[in-house]
Amino acid sequence: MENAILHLNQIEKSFGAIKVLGGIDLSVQKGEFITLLGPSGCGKTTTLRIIAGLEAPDSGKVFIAGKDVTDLEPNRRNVNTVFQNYALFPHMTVERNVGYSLRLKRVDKGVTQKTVAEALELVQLSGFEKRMPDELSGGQRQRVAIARAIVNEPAVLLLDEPLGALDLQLRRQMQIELKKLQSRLGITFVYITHDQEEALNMSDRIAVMNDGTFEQIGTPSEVYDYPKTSFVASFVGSANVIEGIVTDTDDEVTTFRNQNGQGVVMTSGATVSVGQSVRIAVRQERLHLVPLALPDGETEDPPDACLNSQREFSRSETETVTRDLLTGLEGVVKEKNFAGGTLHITVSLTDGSELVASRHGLDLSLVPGDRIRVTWSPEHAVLVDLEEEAP
Amino acid sequence: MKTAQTTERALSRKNPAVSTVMPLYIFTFLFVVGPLIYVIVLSFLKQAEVWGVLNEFTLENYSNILKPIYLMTFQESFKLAFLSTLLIALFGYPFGYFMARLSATWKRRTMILLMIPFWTSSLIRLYGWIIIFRANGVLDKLLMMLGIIDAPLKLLYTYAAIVVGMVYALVPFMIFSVYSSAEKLDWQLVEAARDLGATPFQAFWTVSFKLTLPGLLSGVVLTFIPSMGLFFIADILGGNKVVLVGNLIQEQLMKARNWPFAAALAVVLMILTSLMIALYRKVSGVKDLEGLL
Repeated sequence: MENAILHLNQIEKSFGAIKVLGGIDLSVQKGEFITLLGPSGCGKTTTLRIIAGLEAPDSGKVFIAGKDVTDLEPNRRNVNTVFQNYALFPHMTVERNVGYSLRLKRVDKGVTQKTVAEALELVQLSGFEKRMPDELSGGQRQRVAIARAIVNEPAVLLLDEPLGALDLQLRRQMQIELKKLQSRLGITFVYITHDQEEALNMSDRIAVMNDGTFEQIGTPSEVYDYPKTSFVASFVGSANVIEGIVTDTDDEVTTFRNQNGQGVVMTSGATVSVGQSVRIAVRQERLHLVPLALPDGETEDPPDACLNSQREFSRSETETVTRDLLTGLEGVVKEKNFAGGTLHITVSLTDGSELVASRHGLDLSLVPGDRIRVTWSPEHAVLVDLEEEAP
Repeated sequence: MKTAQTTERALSRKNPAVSTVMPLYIFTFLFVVGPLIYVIVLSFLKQAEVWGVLNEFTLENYSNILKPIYLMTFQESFKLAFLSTLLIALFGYPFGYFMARLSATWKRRTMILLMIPFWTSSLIRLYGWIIIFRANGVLDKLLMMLGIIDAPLKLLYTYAAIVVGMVYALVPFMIFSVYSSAEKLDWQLVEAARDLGATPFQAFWTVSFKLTLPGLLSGVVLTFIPSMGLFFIADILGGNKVVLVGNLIQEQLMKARNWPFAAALAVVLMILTSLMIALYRKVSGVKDLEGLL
């Protein structure tokens, strides 16, 4: 904590009657790329503004490089911000935008020019010095905003959804470039996004935020693979959260039943006792859908050969995976949505709740109305919401 | 055949536009261009002995303007217009700037308060100032009651009264002009400036002020030009002590009945103000003054 470049201590903030931040703590190490990830309205922008000094916290302290800066004006803090809409000065050329902070500090003209040129080269905008901001594309403006913010060599660079306004392809490209830039400069980045993929791609650590508090702070794989709360599980990994009561537990496998009395299995990662209410999270792509045999007496229209063979194939494929599963949840395929490379299959369980499973490519073997059993390997289920709430 | 059809279609597509724009041109010609040409022509004619003009070409009207007494009038007008505009800017700019920072409700309320006086004729509002300014008027009584002064100030019919009248009559134009450009100011730019190390004043000067400058400049144009011609303010509050170009034109036209000379004065005034607008365009780089005029 002493060597943290940025430290937030019990920051609270309300706007009128609305509590935006409920006492948050955060320590960021020098050179770290930390992302505040959360849905809009979770307080991540307010956190950033408090670090920058553009907003004052109701209580709590902000430390930058060990110094209490809570009461310092934004111009006295060694942090710079890349704003969401770039906030480039429309009446200044690219060169003057980037050199703005140096001119304020009355840095020697020649030095300013050289530093600006270097910064522009770093963001690959050499030759754009004399352009006005409205003569640039979105991606170029983005780069100018970054150059303007790093030219001052801040201890911490704050980035407020800097790629939000760019199209997908440019965003991916800029993600890589930003990450490269960060490791080259060695500046600490505090990055805000609501895009979990972006956060997972770029960050050293992710702080998942919801309702003005941090739900979990950890490395991308920690947050993704071992979510601590159901919110983290569903927001970061778009996982399904299933509730139930523990029925049996041993060293390897814990079994629990949901409200319907159906058995569910999972790895015993944490100490739980029989009779305890638990929630587990299983990611969409980890769910297996096993078609159920039709009950006797009911007849199915004979499916055509092609579809039939595919169904057989899919069954034999999933059975190898599910062989060592104890049991699962019964349900009916409700709908199939094809989104780009992924197929989302919504399953309506017998207790009325819904799960979503995802598949790559077009899976023709399941159609809405099919009765299925939802299973997963025990190691893919994670216990969530352990300390916070036991419903 | 095909081309004929397309041109026909193009023409018929053009026609509605022409028919909607035409009235505008006719109106402009009848009420702006026509009278303007008439005034210019008039300024080169001779005054008739008794009434009207003689159709004889002369430059005498313009050479008359160069007489010291008339040049003094122009100088006096410029001085007053300059002083008024300066005061209007000093008062109107902060007003318009901070008005743009108010909440939506308070913006509306302030706007209504600024508009209400316009429901009354400006002449009548000026008579209101007489009640305030005259010896033992509202202002004198108030100041004496507060013990600030012992004897009436007798402000009416002084230069100061004219300046106050000018500022009062024209300051709304400055406020609205500054307000409209300050409203468009993205506050995040100010935050960005602060974030990059600017003090509040530096942020204002390098960002806010620069970006609201067009509003200030158009406010200056909107107030400077009319203040050259607002003869009735000098008449009513200045008691004819100060003669401005506007007063001179009005006198030559209505009292001396020297129409050609009045026309020449008007033309010169027009040229001077046009020069100002040209200067303004150059300074602000704003080519679009159409909305303004």
